[in-house]
Amino acid sequence: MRSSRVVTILLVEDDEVDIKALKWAFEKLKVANPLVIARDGEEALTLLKDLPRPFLIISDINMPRMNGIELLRNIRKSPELRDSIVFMLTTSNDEQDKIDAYNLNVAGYMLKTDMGTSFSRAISLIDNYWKVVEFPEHD
Amino acid sequence: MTAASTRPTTLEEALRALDEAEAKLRSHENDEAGIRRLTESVLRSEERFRTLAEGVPNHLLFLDSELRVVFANDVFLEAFGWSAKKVVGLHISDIVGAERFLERQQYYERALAGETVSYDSTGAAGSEQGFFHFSYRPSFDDSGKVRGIFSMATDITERRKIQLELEAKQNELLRSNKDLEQFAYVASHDLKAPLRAIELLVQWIIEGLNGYDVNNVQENLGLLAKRTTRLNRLLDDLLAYSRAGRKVGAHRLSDTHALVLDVVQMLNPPEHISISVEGQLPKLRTYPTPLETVLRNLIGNAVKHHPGPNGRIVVSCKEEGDRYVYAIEDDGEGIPQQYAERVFEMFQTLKPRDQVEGSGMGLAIVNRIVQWQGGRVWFESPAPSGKGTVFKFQWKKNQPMAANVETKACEAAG
Repeated sequence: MRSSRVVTILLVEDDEVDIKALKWAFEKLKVANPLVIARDGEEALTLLKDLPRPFLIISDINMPRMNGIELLRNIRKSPELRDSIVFMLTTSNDEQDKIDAYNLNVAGYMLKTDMGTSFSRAISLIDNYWKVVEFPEHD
Repeated sequence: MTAASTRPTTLEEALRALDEAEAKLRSHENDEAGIRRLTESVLRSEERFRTLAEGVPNHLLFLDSELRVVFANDVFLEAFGWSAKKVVGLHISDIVGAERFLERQQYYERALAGETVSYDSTGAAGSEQGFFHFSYRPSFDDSGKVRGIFSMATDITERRKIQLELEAKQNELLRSNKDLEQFAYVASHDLKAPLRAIELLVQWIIEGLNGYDVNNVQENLGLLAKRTTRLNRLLDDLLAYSRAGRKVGAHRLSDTHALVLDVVQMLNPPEHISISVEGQLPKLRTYPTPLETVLRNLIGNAVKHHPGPNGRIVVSCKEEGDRYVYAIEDDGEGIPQQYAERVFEMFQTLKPRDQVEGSGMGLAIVNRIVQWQGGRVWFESPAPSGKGTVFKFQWKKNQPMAANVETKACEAAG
């Protein structure tokens, strides 16, 4: 059964310009989902404790304290969070990061490449994604 | 194979030939011609054995089952400056000394129990400096009982030295490879991140985008300025990192008390933060430039990351063996121990750069310098509450000149 609730998006990103660019991409594409921002993996884990379901995570990799790969690892280890849908959106074009991310079952690994359009493309993909894809049911 | 017909080529073969000859001698007790023939063969074997034993460039002893010397070759005798007459009959403990004997007793016992034992150790008899490979091989009589041990010591000092040098070089290579890999990684992230932000901001400014506040040109210009400064800083610090421990400047007697006071003055801390020096910091013969870099980064960090309103930073120093341990204690927020390693890595910050501007290179530079001169750096939490941090690093009391520094580094790595 299709969940009628709107998906909350948790954005894990430490760079304020990127946050701004993403917010703008949301606005431009008229994506009105609730947006929650964490500045690194640690903060994301804290916020995830009370984040309303269903939710979807977009995470950067290079961040202070706990990076995106470590965050993923923690999510997959946690019985409550392990089924989370996570997209990586990062500058890292490093092969090892991609391997690690997919081994940790990311829904997609996206590169922040050019000026802004990569954000728009990513956000429109995520917008379509949550509208089409079934999310796991939680009580 | 009879002892007389084949020339033994190794000690073991010679010994085996002797054993065989002896056994035959015994089994031919009533055959005079046989006895004569065999006696001759035994004598020939023994002569060959001696020739072989003397030909070996190693210390060679034959010990009986009570560990008394039956035979010692010339190499051994020369190393000791003893005569064969003096050595034969001595117990091995009289030769190696009681202390070494205790260390090696277990090996002798295993050899006497029939096992071939080998190990590497310093100081063979007569040579306190070298490094030797010892091997004890039991020699059996007919009934299978151990009648004695061949003890051989091979000088592997040179081999070991080369091996250690090789290992040190290999470690250095691994380290520099890892550095390079890390560099390539960070170059593609940490340097690219501000550059990408700059591109975005410029685009926003040019387009004067409608709607959302990205068209706030004033704000975007401010961000742009911050990003260019950040990029500059990252590049400068990366260069400083690559130079850490390489461009070390002059070597001289330095008053580290004055050095710390200079650093504090240069840092020009805000009024609400007091920096004091506990006691008198030592004077030492060293490279003051890298030491200053370390102190400046650690004291600077304590100032920069202090949440206020009032801060107290104390610099002190303690003597520990051949080194001093400098401590920089602050009463700031504290750092959880889980970041004990991460904080010393390149480009690692504990806060977003947008909150506390910093390259994340300071502690990486500190770590590299401290390691270069043979010490280590770490941090402790002085209070159980986790509040406050003490950064400590070891600095060699008398830093040798650069050429020696490298040798020392090799030894430490080995």
